[in-house]
Amino acid sequence: MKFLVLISASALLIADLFAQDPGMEPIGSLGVELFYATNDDVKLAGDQAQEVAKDQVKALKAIKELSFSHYRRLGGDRPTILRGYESWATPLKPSKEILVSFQPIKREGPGKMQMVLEYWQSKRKVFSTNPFLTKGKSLYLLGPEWRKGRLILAVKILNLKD
Amino acid sequence: MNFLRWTTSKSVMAPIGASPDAGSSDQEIPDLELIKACQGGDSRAFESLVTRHRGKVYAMVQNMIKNEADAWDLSQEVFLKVWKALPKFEARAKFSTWLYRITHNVVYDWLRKRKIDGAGELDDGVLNQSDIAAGARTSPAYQARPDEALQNSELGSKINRALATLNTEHRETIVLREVQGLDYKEIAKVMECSLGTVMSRLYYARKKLQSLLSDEKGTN
Amino acid sequence: MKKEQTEELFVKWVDGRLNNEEQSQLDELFAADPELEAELTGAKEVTAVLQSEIPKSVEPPYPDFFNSQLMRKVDLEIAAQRPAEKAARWWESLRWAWAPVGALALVLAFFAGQRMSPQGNGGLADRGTADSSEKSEELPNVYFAEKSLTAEVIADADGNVSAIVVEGITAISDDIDFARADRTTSLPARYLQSEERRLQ
Repeated sequence: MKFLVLISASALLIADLFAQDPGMEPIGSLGVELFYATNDDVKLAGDQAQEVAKDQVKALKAIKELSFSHYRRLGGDRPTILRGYESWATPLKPSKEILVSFQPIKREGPGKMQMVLEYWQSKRKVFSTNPFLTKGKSLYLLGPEWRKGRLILAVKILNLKD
Repeated sequence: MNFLRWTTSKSVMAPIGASPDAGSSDQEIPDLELIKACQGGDSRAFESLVTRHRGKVYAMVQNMIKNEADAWDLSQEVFLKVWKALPKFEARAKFSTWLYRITHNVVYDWLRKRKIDGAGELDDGVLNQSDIAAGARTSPAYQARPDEALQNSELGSKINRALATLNTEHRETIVLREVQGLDYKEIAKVMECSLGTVMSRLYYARKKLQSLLSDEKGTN
Repeated sequence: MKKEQTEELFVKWVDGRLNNEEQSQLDELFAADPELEAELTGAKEVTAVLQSEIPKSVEPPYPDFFNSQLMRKVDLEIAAQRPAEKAARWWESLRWAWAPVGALALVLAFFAGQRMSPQGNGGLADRGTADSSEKSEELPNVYFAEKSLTAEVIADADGNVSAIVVEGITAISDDIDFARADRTTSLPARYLQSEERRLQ
């Protein structure tokens, strides 16, 4: 009974303390884009798929494993990076077939940060990694097969507070 | 463009809390035996010691600084210091107290460098009851992140935030006593203060927490 | 009675640590101030809540990675103290939680360290330099949910990781049209919590 009183008594305290939660401070934003890459007919990507910029194509082709004949952009997301909490990117919204969770681990000088990235597919975690990301530089994750091609995630820190 | 490539072997994600290396045999080997092996240069024994105690250290650090990213680094620093200091550890001492003492020093060094604790060392002789106003913050803001174990506990989050209103010394004293279960003398050793100071800090910390919660009760 | 003495009595009462004499002293105080016992009972409740809600032990995220990273630092520490034995010690370090991953990462980190420290003589002693050890810390680990997966990490000439190629991921059905919303409602709990937090 006493515990129930304690629980019910703390509600107002919570509202105030939560509002001041420094972990919720935005410290930057992350760009997560999803590309379809194929050596087959690029129309398989569907009507919603967009053309990919030339410099992006060049960057992808520079890496042997990511080099394909054709690319299309399927979607992207630009979620905020919170100082102390995990956040999620939904690059294929409205579909949640592919999700990417991310959370800062530590800063490593200006414009560089180590993060935990988790790749989720069909609501299940597939793999996680803890790379150092540099602002403005993409990290590519070659993912699953789909419609005679492969999906490629490009993760990049867009903004980062000093 | 030249690229460096390397391939990782197949690897299985372990759930948080599980460690493939912690075999049942580790549970039977007392700390002192592992320490003796470490003192002989056996770093495998040291890893067993780390696996056994990392949860306590991480919890302690996180309760002190409420910042998961730094808690990770500081916990690593604690164990690295432990490794370096193990040759000096005397068997008659209690390992966990010694470990908490190192944790205390690492956290306080970090706080001093970060100047987070702007109030500096608390002079308990000066603090009196009138300073314990309900809802008053006695320490600067910290970076909070709910621990995964508490994600489903609203009360746990509330208590964490109430703890955050205590200054560093009070928070550490309360956590060492109520959470880690150290007795008064052990706390005095860890925090390098007198027994009287421990009692005084416990008294005021409890009073402060109680004041915060009962104030809301009165409002309702 | 001095203030410090009464504070000590109160603390010990909450912890159930009073001896008979101290209990008698406190009983006198209770008799003189009837509200005192209720107040101290409140402190007991706070203690109980702290003990039930704050965990004594919390595993760090990715605990095996925690160990492997720490042990790498320990090995560097050992290497720094005993250069002559460094070579043998280094290759003995194959005991980390996920030994194949740890060992391979170690070997490749070594080579990566060599590439990034061209001034070195290429010997094991190079691994002890701050520069190469910092670079080796930047190699990501990849953790899989299933044993059938493998990953290749690709870095550019500056040592920045450019890509992670994961093989063995279940193919996405060709029927899935990403332009349409999923009908499934069972999203990961952490995702839902994050959304809830974001929308507050």
